[in-house]
Amino acid sequence: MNPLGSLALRFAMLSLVAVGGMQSVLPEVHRVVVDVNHWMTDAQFTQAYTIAQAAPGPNMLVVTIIGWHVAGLPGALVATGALITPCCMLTFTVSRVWQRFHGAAWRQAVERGLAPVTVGLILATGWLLARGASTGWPAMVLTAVTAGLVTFTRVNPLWLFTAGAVLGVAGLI
Amino acid sequence: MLVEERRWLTAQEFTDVFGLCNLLPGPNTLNITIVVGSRFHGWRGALVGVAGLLSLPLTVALLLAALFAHVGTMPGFAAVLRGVGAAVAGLVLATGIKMAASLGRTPRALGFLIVTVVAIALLRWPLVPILLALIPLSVLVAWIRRA
Repeated sequence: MNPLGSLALRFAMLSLVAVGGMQSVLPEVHRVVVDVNHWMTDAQFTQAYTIAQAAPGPNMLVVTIIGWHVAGLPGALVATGALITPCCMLTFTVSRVWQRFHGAAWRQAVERGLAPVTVGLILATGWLLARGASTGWPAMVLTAVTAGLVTFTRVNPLWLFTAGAVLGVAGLI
Repeated sequence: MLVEERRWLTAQEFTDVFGLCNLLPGPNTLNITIVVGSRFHGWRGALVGVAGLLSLPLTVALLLAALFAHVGTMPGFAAVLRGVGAAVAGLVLATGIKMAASLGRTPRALGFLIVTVVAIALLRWPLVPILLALIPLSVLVAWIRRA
């Protein structure tokens, strides 16, 4: 199958399981793009995510950058459209009937059941990004220090991004 | 903005919509836009909302994608991206750690969290079948153990 068709099909399917946001399906996007089709390297994937993070708006737009990398402008549009259309249509449909289920007991079970899986997917995303970023021990240290500082202090992550940029230019990472 | 500035929704309605949008797949901001848009103006409202929310960021993302294709290989730019990328990975890990800490400390939550991380990050199993198996199971256990 050509890359465009393959992108559209895979991403449309992922759209419907993106519980907890697009971050949840990034490990699968990574698997498809890096491991299965070799459209990008591990490092390029982390770079694309870094750029999306720096841009305004939802960071799901990383798929726009990945789509472009795979097949230019059509790739970017197809990847983005495939990833947002199915979940939008699902939300639209569900929102029409939702009010009927207001406060239903099963809702809490669904919420509590989804939570650990969603968090697990975010941790998996972090792990894969870290793998793509690790060019050596200085990069690993910076990843670990950032994770620690952001978890336990109120430091603004921008400082750590700046530190990363400086270390990168200095040739240490 | 929806509740305080425009008064389109009450705080209670917002909480309800927010809960729903976190359950449904897709980015929650996008889902909220669709629910609110469709409540007021049907599918047209939803469509206009989505277009409004995404058009600017999408344009920026397209520009960045084009830029990335051209300068991504330039040594200086690549060096900055490499460095910042290591920090961004740490930020995502921290988000996961903080969310994990806010989960209830039950064997159920911890178990499903660990299984998800191992299957997806370490074993690199495909996501869709894993989620189709794990989510119903996790919801079922949460249902059985409800207090």
